[in-house]
Amino acid sequence: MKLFFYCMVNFVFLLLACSLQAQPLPPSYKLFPLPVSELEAITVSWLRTSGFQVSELSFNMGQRQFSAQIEGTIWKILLKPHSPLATELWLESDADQAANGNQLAELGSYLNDYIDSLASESDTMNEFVPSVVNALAQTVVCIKATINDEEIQISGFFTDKQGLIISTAHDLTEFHTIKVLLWDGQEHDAIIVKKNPEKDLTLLHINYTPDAYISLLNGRSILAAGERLFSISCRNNQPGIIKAGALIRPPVTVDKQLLWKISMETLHGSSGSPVIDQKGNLFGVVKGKYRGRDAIGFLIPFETILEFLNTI
Amino acid sequence: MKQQNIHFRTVFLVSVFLMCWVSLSHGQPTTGQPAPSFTLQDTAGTSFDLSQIADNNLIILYFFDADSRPSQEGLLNLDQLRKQYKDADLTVWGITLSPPEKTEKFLNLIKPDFPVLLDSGKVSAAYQASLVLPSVCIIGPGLKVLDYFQGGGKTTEIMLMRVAERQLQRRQTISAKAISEQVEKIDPGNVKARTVKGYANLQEGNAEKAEKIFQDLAQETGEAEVVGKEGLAALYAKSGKMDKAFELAQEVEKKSPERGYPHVIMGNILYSQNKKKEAGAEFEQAINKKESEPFQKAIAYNQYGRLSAIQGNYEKSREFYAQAVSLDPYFVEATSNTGLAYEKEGNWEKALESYQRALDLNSNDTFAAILARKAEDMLSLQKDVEKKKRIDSLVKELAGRYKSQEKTRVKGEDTWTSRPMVITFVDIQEKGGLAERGGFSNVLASELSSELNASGRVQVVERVVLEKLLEELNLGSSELADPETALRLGKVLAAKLIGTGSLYYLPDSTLLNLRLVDTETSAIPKVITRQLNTQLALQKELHALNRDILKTIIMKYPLQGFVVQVNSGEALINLGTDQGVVLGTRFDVIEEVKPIVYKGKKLQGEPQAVGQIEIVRVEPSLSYGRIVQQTRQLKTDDRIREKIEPKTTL
Repeated sequence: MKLFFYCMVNFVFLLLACSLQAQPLPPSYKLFPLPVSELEAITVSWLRTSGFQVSELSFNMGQRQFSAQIEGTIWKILLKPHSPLATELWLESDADQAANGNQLAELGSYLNDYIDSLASESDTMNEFVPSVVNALAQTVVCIKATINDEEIQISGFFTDKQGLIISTAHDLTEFHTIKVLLWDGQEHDAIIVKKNPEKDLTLLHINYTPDAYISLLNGRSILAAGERLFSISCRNNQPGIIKAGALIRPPVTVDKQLLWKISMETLHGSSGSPVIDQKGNLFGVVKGKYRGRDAIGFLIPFETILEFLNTI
Repeated sequence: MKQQNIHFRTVFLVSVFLMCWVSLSHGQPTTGQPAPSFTLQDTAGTSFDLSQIADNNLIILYFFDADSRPSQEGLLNLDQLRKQYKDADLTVWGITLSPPEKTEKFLNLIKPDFPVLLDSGKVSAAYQASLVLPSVCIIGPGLKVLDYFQGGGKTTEIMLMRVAERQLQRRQTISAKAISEQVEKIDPGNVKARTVKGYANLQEGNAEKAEKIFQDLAQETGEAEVVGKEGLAALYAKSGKMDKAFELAQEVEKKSPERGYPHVIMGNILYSQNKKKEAGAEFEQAINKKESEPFQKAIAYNQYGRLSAIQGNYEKSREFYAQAVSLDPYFVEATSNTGLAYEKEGNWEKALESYQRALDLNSNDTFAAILARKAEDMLSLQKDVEKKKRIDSLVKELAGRYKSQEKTRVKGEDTWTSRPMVITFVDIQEKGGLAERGGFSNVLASELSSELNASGRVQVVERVVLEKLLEELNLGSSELADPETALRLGKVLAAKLIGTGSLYYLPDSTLLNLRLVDTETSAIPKVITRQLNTQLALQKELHALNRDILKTIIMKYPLQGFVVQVNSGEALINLGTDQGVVLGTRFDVIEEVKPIVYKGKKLQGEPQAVGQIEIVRVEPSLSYGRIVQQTRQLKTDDRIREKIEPKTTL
């Protein structure tokens, strides 16, 4: 898609640049995948930094019109919404000089670069997160434990309507107080119901009835090849941080416990985060980073969670 | 007798010296005072008027003697800087009492990159620069005197370092580093030069380079060790290594109890740990300590001001911001914070003045630009009596509905046709550390509102209506943190979605967690988590948020309506700008498919598209569309649903 836009934009601006050398420009337009306000902001910014005097904008039925002047040459620009997310840029110029053509080509290349940078950002950073996963963001809590006046923070998640929370155990070996911070800012005192340091799991309880929780009924033990997974964690006392990733096969055994390896950004404080598939089914719990690498994490498998809950 | 005579002579000479010194120093340009105005000509006869460069934020007037070696050295240093860093936004004017022919001869030798003006004596006298040369006057924003130096040699180094510090305050890190390096060439190991270089690297985000510089300093003894460790503490705090930063700041405090900056670092850390009272005590110590660089003390005043504002003491906060700006006239954050304090007090005129001052310092400051726009809107609202009346009566009505828990009624029985998509942003809370500037949540809500409104697809509840309603209902942050209250408020405002969440200040950036909540179902159609940078690329981040929200709305809440009429390739539909139709929008014409009965169970498939319409003309309650394709003849009462076009969407 990036290539499609790149070629189209270059072609139109090349035509504009060539036609400028011979005669005044006929009105021409190009479609950009940007809302009208964004295209307006970046076009005006380019014009101003290129030395154009930009006139007052006029608005009509969502369309923006303005003129830009440089050394006696006037560009008339119309931004016409094509949809709420796309805009047509119409351009008319009274110039017949080659230099003006160069400037038009420069504007085209500037807009190309901008769109290119957005496309690459959305490829890497803003992976599509299914709405089911988004809706489960509020099931995740921040667990704050105070040990010798020092506070540590890990993550956990509600597993039923009674206020039971599953988390990891390795940071909760010694503690004075444990508090649970919810997505809406509420803070509750927590008690440990059950702890298993070998399995590295803890079950906590708070007096609270959550609206949503991650059910253990639909947990998953195996995944299809390439299936996407999502972790929802707490970072810096802010629950609801979603990261996407995928499983790295095969699983590894650490201290007699089977663990999954996952290629997913594993943040400080994310131990205890639920890892779910795109339908919101639990697959595991984040145990920690793999050899200190932020991009690879270890997961406690769903079976281990069930074993932990089933043993007294 | 002879001894008495000598004693008398000594007293007399000292008195004469003191009288001369007093008369000389009296009338010397002082910090904060307006620089004396003047017009002078250069050797070619061109006139130069100080008032013509009033918009330049850093001006150096260099008074010199063309014959004196110290004068020449200082001038050469400034010239080298000007020639090397043309983009550094540094204005230098040389002024001399030397005869024109001597001046011209000197200028022909060095060919300076700045004008050298000939003075007959008046200007030099006004600047007390007749007797001791070179004399340097550094002028800041609003043509106010910032610094004044007399003498060459070591004083030139001091002057250059002050210029470097001023450049650091202006975020002109490249020239700040260059000046420091120039001073290091003259005086290798100069502690101040290395310190400025360290902070310039820190400002640029070159943590490794900054750490190396501060570590080298910290390994020395005396002043170097103290400023080195202080720099390391600042660096660790910025990289989130709070324990290490706090320890180092405490160590510096013990070693040099009069240093102020360690208390700023400790105050910031304590605040991020929600120890506001302790943080306040540290900021208070920071502003009362004697040893601090001006830019560091300015930060101390600003942070104390921020804390006071958060605690609701706006007048006190303004006093602190004023102190910060007097120490650092380039402090955009403290200047815009002043505006926010005025805003909280309802003084929109003064608020606007502050934002405009911030924009004078940095015309690209997105924050100040957005806040200024909001202040302008508020001022025009105050003048528009009719609009004010309308808003007041609307707010009264809404407050009544909120109290009686009555929903805004929706007319009509047509459940298929979309109603306008109304959104309101309610209380985006600021959490975590103490940011240098306040108002980020305001900036975010204002800018997102204006971008979403500009799309035509969404209507955002006017900020002024929301703010007045909250005031009328006496709802503060703590009440709004309750999701039930926020939802109730959204319903009263007839908003389909409310945007709520938090901004979490991290040492190096801000984490936004924005949730869109459906007021009818309490479902959360979108959670956006983004790391925002308050200084760089903020506008780009806001554009991305706008796109994200629009895309979610179109996908989750597509416009739905009916075909009203079909005439030769054109269809009239019952949706217009009021509902969010914009030119170019495409609609699928859809038709329910017949259910399949299998083993006694009715299986209903998804509706199928039988045609597509592209909107070519829009009116408030209806639109005209071109029929792009159809598999059967379209007709009145056909159902339509908005379609997202993947080809034109990022």
